Amino acid sequence: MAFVDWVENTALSIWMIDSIWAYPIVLSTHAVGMSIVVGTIVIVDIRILGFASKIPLNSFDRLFIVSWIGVALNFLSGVALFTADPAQFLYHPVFWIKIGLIIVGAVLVYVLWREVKPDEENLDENSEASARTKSIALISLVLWACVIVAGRLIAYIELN
Amino acid sequence: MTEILFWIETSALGQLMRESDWLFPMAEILHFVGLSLLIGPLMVVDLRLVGFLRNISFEAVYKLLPLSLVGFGINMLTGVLFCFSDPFRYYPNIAFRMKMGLVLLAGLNVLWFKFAVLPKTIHMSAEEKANVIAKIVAVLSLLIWFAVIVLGRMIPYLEE
Repeated sequence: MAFVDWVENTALSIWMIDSIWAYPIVLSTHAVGMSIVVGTIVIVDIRILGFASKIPLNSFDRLFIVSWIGVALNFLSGVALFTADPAQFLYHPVFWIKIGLIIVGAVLVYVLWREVKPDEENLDENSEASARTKSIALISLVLWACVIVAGRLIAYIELN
Repeated sequence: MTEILFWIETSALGQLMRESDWLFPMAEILHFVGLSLLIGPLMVVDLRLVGFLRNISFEAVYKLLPLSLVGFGINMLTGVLFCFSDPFRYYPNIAFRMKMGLVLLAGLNVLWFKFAVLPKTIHMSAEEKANVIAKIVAVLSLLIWFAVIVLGRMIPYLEE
């Protein structure tokens, strides 16, 4: 396939394969990024669901910036990992499931970010989210757990 | 030491981990989920101590810490399962050894936090700033835990 050939000839792909350290370092970065993305989103989700209610709901604006930094880190490291073996990922159904889940998950993060913005209503300590926001948070929690599961399964279900 | 490793390898748990096709992958998925639960709250507390997320009080962010402990518990249990599956693989591995060393160091850092930082900061208002010691503890915590993730990911690449 022309696309696979093209990817395999990019400088990034060649570096990922030729360098002994490139792949492990990028893979480690992907794990660090995952902990940042999922770690911060879990906190927002469980707060919306009612845990740690001492934290005002509208105080997560800056934490979302941290989430987006994690997303950017994992997009970049993810692209690099993809170029190391494009055919393996391109034809892997679990890879596409993971990408789909991430897109929906990112949209939900954006929606929640809008929902708990500080300039909207003034939500104080012990404030409670609406039932609608709570259900979005619950879906987000499950979704991001599935992203981790899918990521691991790509490695376990190898195609050739 | 060899006898201990041999005992671990031939134990019922060790055999179970090797015989089952899905136990190891399941434990690994849980290890990643646990990692996210551990890192998320920890990162929020550390970032708060450093001065980011100033609109949340210290007392409120500390309410998240039990979640970190849950994540640590999951990862200790699943980590023990990995060791039982192949003790002769992990014990000599340099990345594994460094990782365990850093986890211990992180534990000492937690003690430092508990006795030197927590009592001083817990009643601070959202506007007050943590002292330099608190900031050092926070930066150390972030650096150590991210290094733990990287070393964990490096274990398969630093095999003898």
